[in-house]
Amino acid sequence: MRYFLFLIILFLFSCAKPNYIGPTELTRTGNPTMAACPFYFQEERLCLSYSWNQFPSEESLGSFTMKFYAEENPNTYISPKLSPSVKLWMPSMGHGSSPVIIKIVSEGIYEVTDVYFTMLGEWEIRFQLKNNDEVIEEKIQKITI
Amino acid sequence: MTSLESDAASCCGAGFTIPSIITSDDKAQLAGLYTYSKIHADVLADGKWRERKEDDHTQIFKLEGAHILEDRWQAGLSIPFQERTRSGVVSNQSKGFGDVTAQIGYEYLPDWNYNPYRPKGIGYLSLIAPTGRSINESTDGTGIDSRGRGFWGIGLGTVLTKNWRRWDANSNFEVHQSFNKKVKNKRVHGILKPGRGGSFALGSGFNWKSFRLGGLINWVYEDPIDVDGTPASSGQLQRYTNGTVILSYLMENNSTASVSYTDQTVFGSPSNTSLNKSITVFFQQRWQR
Repeated sequence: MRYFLFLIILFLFSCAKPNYIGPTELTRTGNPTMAACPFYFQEERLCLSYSWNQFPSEESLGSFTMKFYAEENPNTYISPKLSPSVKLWMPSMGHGSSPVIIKIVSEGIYEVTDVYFTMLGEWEIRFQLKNNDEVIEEKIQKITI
Repeated sequence: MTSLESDAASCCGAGFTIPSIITSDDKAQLAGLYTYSKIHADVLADGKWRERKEDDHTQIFKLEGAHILEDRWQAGLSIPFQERTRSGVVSNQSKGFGDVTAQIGYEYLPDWNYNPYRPKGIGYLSLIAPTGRSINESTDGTGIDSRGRGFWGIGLGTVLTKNWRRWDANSNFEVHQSFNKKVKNKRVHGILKPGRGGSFALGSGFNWKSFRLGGLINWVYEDPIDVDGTPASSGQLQRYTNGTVILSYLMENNSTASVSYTDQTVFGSPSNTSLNKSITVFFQQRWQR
């Protein structure tokens, strides 16, 4: 019993062990996959790929480009009938971030700007197809900031 | 002259504040606190740390009062007012109330005969009002105007104190239940499920003339926050430890002035939280029975 109490006290009063990771290690995580169809939306039978134009940092907001296309024809971009939407979500803490701005550049190509993560940690970029406010289909890209 | 305090986790005010408790034989007490708190690092759910480069600090002005109701019963109230400032690419500032806490306490273990071993024990029931909104109710989504946990909650706890000549010791143990909340805005449409939490604090102090030098360690745990709705999400538990050193001066007019330093980066095994370093200036006036 005495040793058990000693171990509990030792455990409780033990010092924190900071395990710092640097930003170079982080920017490598959450990069877009190079698969032919990174995200497949069954509802519209469309693939989605995205690529960063500006990775978000403490000095600047981020932006990326989304491209929708049919799996069999990746060079022809097609706008989905439903509305594309992007939500930034931090699942570990159960909260989101400020809304992004989505602008259509051309048929099937959208630019997403004002990408900002309110704190460091593990986030999700949730690519959504919506009918008004209702999310019809959603694909998730995990990312560490 | 015993003082118990708990700092909130920086992200979302996730900590459970210990309200004002009369641990002495006084009739009433009123305290004003000023805290300057700055985020030092973010800790991911897997325990990895990221140093926070952008400035994100909070100033808290808190008024805490407690009054004896009847012999061994007491009631207290804690009202925090916060100003949070963040620099960086989305710099902003917000001011407003944090979560207000009210509590009722009962001295279930009195120390009338100054027993050398048995401590004085006060149990308390707390009610937390979500006056500091949660991060999911932030107006612009950046969370800068989230100054509290943002959930209704009830807590049950006990404070134990003991004095031996120049030394004193204190502890606080509490558990709390936060209640589900419906949120509907552009970012979240559903029910937030915060779950339970708890904390355990252990402190000691050395008294010399009118001074007291003390230390306090407070371990805090919070259940994951799940979201049932859009987006559906499962959270991760949150854990951090406050280490505090406090220097107090007891004045002749039954009042106490203190300064304390709290560091969340020193003890424990933090997870899924932001870690603060903070300094608090505290003035308390007491009225004897």
